Amino acid sequence: MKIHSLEKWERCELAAELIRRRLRTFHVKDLLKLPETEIREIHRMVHGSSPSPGGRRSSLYCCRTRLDQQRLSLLVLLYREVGGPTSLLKPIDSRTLINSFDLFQDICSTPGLDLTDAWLLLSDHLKGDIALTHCKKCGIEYLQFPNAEIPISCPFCELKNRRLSRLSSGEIETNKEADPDVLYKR
Amino acid sequence: MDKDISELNRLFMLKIREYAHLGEEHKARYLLGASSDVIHLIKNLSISQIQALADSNATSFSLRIPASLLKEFQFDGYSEREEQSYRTHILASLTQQRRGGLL
Repeated sequence: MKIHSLEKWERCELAAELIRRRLRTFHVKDLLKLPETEIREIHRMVHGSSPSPGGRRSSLYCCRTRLDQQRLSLLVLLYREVGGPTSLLKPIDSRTLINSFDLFQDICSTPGLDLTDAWLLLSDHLKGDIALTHCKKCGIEYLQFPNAEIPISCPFCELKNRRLSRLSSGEIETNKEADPDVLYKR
Repeated sequence: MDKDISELNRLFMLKIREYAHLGEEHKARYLLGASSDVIHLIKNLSISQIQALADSNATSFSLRIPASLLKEFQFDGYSEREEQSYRTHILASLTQQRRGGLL
């Protein structure tokens, strides 16, 4: 591979970072406009093997439960937090994608979720296939997956209600040490 | 002067400065709640300037976890999935604060 300019070198370095985080090569090609042969060569340098064949999948694949919906909503919210208020309205930015995905992994480790899942999610959001909706009750934005098997209501409220209903049924006990009234009376 | 407050302030500002110097301003914004202007200013402060600022009489930051979620912290016996949903809820709420979310 011949690199003739600093700009090209930066794009190759970015491609290596994306591939290291398991972004599929055809998405890397879409993002960075590098020739496929060069992307495959970078893949071999990073992983020691050629990219495996496989079709494009949908973001529905990674949203099967309410907890998934909650985490994926957080991932998109972090992308906007890192990229700025208008970042979700623009084409996906590689550096914002990497920084938000790394931050997500640091604070909310989710096994099985890779950069391809994050890319698909943002791409489907950009196309309008999934929507970021503001919950009037809790004030948090969440992703609606109209074609998924889960309801379209807010996962933050739903999961909180489930936690609190377990509490009111007596299944969860109050931790006396953390009870502010107990601490205050000591 | 409460030494604990001074130390909390110092560590808080040093962490912002560290993220800024590592080119990770997004972490200072999200994890520490600092604005871009503040990050830029703290990035250029010396250690002695940070110490002088830290010696003010009040903390330079506040707790950002919404009270409605903080209340839940006193409950023991959450399952692993409930713990995860609780933590994710807190993390998502932090992305809404600059946007005027209800919390």
